[in-house]
Amino acid sequence: MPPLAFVLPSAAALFVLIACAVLARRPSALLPLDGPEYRDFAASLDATIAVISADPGRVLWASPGFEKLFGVGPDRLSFGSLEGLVHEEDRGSLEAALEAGRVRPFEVEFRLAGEGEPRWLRIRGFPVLRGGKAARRIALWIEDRSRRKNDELMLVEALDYEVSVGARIQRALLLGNPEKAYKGFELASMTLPSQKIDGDFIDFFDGGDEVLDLMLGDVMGKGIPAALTGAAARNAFVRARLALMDEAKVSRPPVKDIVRAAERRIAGKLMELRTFFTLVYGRLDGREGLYRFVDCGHTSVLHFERRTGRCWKLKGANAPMGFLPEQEYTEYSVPVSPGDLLFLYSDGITEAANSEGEQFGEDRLMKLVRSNSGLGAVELLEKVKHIAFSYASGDFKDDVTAVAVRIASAPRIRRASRTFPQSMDSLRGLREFYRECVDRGLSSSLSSETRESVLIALGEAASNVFRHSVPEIPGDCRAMFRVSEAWAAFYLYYRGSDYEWQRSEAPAIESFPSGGYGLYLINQAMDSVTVSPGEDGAVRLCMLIDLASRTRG
Amino acid sequence: MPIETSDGVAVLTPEFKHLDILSAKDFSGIFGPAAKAERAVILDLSMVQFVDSSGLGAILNLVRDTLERDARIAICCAQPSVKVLFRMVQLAKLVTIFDGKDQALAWAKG
Repeated sequence: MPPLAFVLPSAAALFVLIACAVLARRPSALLPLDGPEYRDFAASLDATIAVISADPGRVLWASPGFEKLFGVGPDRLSFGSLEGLVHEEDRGSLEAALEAGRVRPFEVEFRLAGEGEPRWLRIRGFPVLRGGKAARRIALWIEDRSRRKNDELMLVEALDYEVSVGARIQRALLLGNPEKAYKGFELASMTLPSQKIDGDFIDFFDGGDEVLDLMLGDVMGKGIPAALTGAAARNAFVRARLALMDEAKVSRPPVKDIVRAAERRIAGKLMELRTFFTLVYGRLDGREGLYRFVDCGHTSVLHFERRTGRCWKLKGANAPMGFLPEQEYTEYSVPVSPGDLLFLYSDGITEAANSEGEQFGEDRLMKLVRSNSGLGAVELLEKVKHIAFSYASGDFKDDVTAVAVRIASAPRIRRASRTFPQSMDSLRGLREFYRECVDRGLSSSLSSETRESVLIALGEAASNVFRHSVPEIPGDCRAMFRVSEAWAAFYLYYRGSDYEWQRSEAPAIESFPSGGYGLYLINQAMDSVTVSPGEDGAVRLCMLIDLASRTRG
Repeated sequence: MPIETSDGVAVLTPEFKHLDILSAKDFSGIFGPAAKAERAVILDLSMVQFVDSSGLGAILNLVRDTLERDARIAICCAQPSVKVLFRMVQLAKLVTIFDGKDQALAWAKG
């Protein structure tokens, strides 16, 4: 029996063994098809089997069904001349496959020539080698793929349609129009649709007087359901904001109130549908020089701080919307200065993977934004798009949505700063520095009791930093105080960990707690505490007192 | 560190300017044992300008140990900054707090 060079699929292998055994006995004969065992066996298969000569492709043997498949009997057909037999566009690939089939197995799909609905055949071929030399014969396993192929084509068509509809949904329902110029800001946005429809949504609301609300969300899952959920989410926010403006007769309802009002409109429905979305809703106030935001489990907002030349990740603490029927939203505030840049994005960028499967990642994006921070907002987005696209070889699994905003406005700021060794030995000196700042900068705007509570909080924060972030190599940390008419911010730039700072419940005094008051005291005294990781282990702690809100309150 | 004992009342007057993470252990080491015999304890904080959460923890330990042996404890003469901390954590739920030392002594002897 001729040796078989390859391990073949089971049914095909069996048949080739049979065919080869027969051929070994009667190498040049066209086998009769009337043998009952071969007939029964062949009839039970959903395919036709044939053995052809490698050159010039003459059919040596074929199982029943061959004529039905090709329209001519095996004795009148030669694979050496495909004209009139095979669709002209597929002839080349079949010829190449048959040529290759002299030495190795192959698989090829092609259409038969003819009018009307194309008939698709798939041939899997196996060389029948002799002594390791090129095959004189090739065994073929031939299947009619017309029905499956048509189903596949219809599926592709349906998917194309879905992508097309999805793209239109995104343009029409999910993506706000950032083309308008907003006074005090340079704004640009981009969306690169992936092959599958996503539920990324963005919107911008002009609050007037250099106030701009920005919203970026990402619905779980893909496809039209995700896009529709995104559209509903965006709509919920638009309506919530308008309703609050109408009820309270204000042009700028608090960010936290907008998110809560939107939650009331949509969270229950999301839970019923077992879906959710992440979101960051923020407000840039150019005159106050402040960015207020609520983060519902979204990717970090990157804040390039021109003053320090560094990029920081802004992250909140709320769960994605749809996880819970309702939640207490925490609003954070971070000062922004002229030249600063905010970069909002969906995880399509950071989760873009290269050929090794390594993700682009947040740290790489942060470096990219920082190193290109001198570009305009549009150019920066182009740069990010280009780099991320190259990294992923153009294959984004998710939509890539991003917004870049550069701040132009400049409120009047007073400031002070001092550098200390990052060690517990600096604790009292740092507290003294903060006391000087509070006495000089806030004596007219805060009561003495409030000032004391702020100093207690600052001491707790410094103590936390020195206790939890002990640098391997001794280094310095930098304390800074900045105050405007609208806010006062106490910064500490240090190296170390960004451990959880948000817990704020008071321990029960009756249980004589030995600890746990530090974070409570910080959060009681401050209106916002953000701990933002930067590059290479740098951390920015920013504790803010919202003087404007306190005055209004 | 002054510890005055008279008629079963111990008056503890820590001389720490800062009762904080750097000095809390010393506070407990000095005043913890001293407060274990008398029927009443007065913590005079007139010399303490600042207390942080670690210092508060040390005070709470003193309060707990005193109350557990059925003795009484009061705090007096706290500086404004320290009073703010006590208000924030509602320390008055556990300990009587007096502005002046005389009031505290009268309460302890009463």
